[in-house]
Amino acid sequence: MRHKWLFRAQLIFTLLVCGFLIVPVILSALAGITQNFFLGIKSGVTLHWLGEVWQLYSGTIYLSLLIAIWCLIATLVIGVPAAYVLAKQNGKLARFIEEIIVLPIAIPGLAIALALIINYGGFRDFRTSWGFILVGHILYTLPFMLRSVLAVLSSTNFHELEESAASLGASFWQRFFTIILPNAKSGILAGALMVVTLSIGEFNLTWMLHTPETKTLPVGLADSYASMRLEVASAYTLIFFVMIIPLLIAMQKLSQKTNKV
Amino acid sequence: MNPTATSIKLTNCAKTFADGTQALKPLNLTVKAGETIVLLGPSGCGKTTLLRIIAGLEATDQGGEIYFNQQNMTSIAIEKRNIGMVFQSYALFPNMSVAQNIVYGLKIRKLKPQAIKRRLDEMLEMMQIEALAHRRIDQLSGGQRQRVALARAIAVRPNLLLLDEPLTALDASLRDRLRSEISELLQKLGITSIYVTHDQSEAMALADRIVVMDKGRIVQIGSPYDIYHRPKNEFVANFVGNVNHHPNVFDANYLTLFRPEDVEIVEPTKGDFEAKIISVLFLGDKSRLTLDCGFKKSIYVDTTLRQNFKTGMKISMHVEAERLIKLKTTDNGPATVKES
Repeated sequence: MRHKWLFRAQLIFTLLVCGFLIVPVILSALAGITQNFFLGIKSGVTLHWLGEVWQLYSGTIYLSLLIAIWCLIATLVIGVPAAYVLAKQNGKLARFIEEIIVLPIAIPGLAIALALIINYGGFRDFRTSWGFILVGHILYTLPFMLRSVLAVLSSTNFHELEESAASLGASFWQRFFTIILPNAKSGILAGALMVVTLSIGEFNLTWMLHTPETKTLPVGLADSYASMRLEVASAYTLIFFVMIIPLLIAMQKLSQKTNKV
Repeated sequence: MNPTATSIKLTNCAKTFADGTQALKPLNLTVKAGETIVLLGPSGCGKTTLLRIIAGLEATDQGGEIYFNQQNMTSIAIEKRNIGMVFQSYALFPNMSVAQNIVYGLKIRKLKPQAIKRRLDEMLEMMQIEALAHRRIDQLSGGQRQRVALARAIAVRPNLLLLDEPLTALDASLRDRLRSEISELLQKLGITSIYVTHDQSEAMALADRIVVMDKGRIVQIGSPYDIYHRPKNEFVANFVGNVNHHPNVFDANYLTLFRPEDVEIVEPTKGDFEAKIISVLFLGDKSRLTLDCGFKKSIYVDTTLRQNFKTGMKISMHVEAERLIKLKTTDNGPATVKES
């Protein structure tokens, strides 16, 4: 019988912890579609606040998506070949370069942003464009792409796969596109989801790098928390959830699939 | 013999790695068209490096040259050498099915779809893997992977087939079966082949000629028969089989050896020498006796006599003069001689 009690106690504890985490999320989501949050849900359900957010902040949502897509393209173009080269080289230099590329994970976003502003803030057109934020996002997300692809490449014996493709007559580019990329696919996909998710949600760096003309979703969110009705901010959060949760689920699914293999 | 078979000539090929180790001393080697050559030696002897140089996966040091027929291939990249290669780990492409693996080289060569299909069917039939065509690579057993790897290498009709310890990863019984299959296959195709192994029985079974290597050098080249019965030095004699030092033939200029199966067990006191049995290993078809004859090294004897040998028994033995392997001691270097 002691077993049963232990199980129940653990179940209750787990449910409490889950509740503690989920209730605010639900409340926040509900607040976004409630007429008046202080009167509660009985005041009526409305899409009014969502509409208002759209009117006020749709620009930030578009910008966040735009930056995320360009960030993804850049990390793919830089990260995948870089991971390939690093996986192929065993020397000390290769490991050193890998460490440098991965460094931004360890450095606070604010510090990276500050460094960017000090060095490149003088180029006015660049400083005021969303390209400035993009550069920060690339620096911040590149390690995740690199690591993810490197992990897959070092777990498959791709060096020998490439040699055998070469022995069958495949040139470097044929090998890269028919052997390396398809076999690194799971890593590239995982890295891509990670990059997009991180870029859309990135706040630290972006808050420092943005201008009033170049606000992203999380920056707009902070702005609305500070200066808008709670219902507007909550509706805004709801939109953020709708964008980010499918990405997180896809990421989870993908890692389950790769774990099985 | 295959009329398109290619002859191979290596002149002065050596390999020094970036860290300064010389894996291969400068060497020459000629492989006749259609011949099966086995590079045999212990690990680290340079056999795989030599194979990779012939394949084009490694460049030979300055001064070395490689010819396919009369054509100088030294600076030609591997993908332009038209070879087929089978790797120890098979290196099958996990992102492709069995069929896609086999036709990979044909697609690279931009053959017509009908020609690709025809060749695929031929290969599947030849390797008896028709049923596996649509399987994924991770659904195959080791032996099946080996067949796919062979089919993939042969499908492109290579000038030269290179096999790098292709059976090492398999268990013993499967290895024996595939060994004879590969032997038949190479005979049938008549393709020039170079096969790397550290297993002397594999080398014996497959080779037209065996190239025995040690410490980056070629020690001896010869037919399996020659290598076994007329080894050039003690290393070769030891590497391709067991060998005994004769207990009562002493000659400063010659080392006299004989193989365990060449010993006749004779009536007591009628033999050349006597020894006491230290241990008996009964193997069914034969018994392997380990004997002490007062000599530093034990003597090994293989006998098919139906006699129940017991530890402690004393037996008398005789070796026919023509069965003795006589090696000039200068060929062995001083260290080997003193050791005995």
